[in-house]
Amino acid sequence: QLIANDSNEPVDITGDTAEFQDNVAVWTGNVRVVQGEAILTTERLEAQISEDGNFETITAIGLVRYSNGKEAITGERAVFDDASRTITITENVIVTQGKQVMSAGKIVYWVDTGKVLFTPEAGKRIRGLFFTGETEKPI
Amino acid sequence: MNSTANHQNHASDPPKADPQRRVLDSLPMEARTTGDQAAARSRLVRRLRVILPITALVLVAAFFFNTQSNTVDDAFLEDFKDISASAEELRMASPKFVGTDGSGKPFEISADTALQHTSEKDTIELEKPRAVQGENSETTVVTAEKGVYRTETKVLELRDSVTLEHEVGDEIYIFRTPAATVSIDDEIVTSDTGIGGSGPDGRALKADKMKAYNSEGRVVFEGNVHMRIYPKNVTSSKDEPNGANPAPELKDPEIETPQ
Repeated sequence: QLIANDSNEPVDITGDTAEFQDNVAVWTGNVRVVQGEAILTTERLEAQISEDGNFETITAIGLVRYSNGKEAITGERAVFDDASRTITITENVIVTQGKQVMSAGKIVYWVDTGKVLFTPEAGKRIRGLFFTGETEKPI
Repeated sequence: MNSTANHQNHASDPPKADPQRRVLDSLPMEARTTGDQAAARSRLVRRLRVILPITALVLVAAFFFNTQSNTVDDAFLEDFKDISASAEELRMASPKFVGTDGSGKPFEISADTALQHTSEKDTIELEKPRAVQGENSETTVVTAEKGVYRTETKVLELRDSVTLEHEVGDEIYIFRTPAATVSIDDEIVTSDTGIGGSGPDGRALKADKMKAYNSEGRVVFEGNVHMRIYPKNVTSSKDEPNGANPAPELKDPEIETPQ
């Protein structure tokens, strides 16, 4: 369970360039999306804007890193879906929580509840490194 | 008294005409002008001899004064009272240029005043210019304090408090920038002096440069692009009667609008 994100906060998106055409917006270069404590950084961000101006889906491509101050998820590609309120991260996915680390082929993260679903890459297994409270040695 | 009158009459009777004269008299002949008639005719001729030259003189004078008089038809003056031409420049009030751009879409440039220097005919300086380009939902409206319109290249350069109404992702944003250039034929609006804009629901967008390609419905921002969006479920207290979840105050020092 990761920490949920406060989705009522305003969303700030910064980048080197931003292009809008019809209802698609594309940010490129040092792209950074900040909402409350949550930060997503990537090289390219594509957003599908709904009729009322909200982001229906946001796709981050290249060096994707999502963190909320306590946990961090990295991967090559991430898709945020406003309807299901999930972020799906794929390709070289690594989740770190403090010193604990997990890797998987794909993870689905529910931003409002903090729930995470790990899915291994085909033919591989999910790997994790956990520390119990008393010892510094990983289990 | 009467008898003397008669006697005189007999004396003045004409002599008896002989037969030959009577035959001549019976021939059809104009009545001979009598002395009175002749006198009347000569009086008329004498008068006409004076009146006709005077009339001729009056006509000539009337013609002469008419052409010289500088009182021109007032209605004509009314139409052109806005134009004052001095040797170097032509100033026009409330000018309006209407035309079509490269792809046949209408454009219109209006202003408070337009100033054209006779030395540079294709350059027109505008006060409070306003340019409208495009049709229906794809209309772009640009206003400014000052502007220069180059008729040859159909380029409008705007400066001082330029405001630009433009669609960004199906929503209308009002942008402000110190200067912008509108290329009518290419349908491109450019600003590279810092631009800041606000959209519905407190959204804000700011960047160093902006380029709007109106014919493609595309707008590109470059350099420190910063966009702020308020999630739809966060409504401002105005909308939410009980103000349970008031939207945060928009004015964020980070996104102030360049003037």
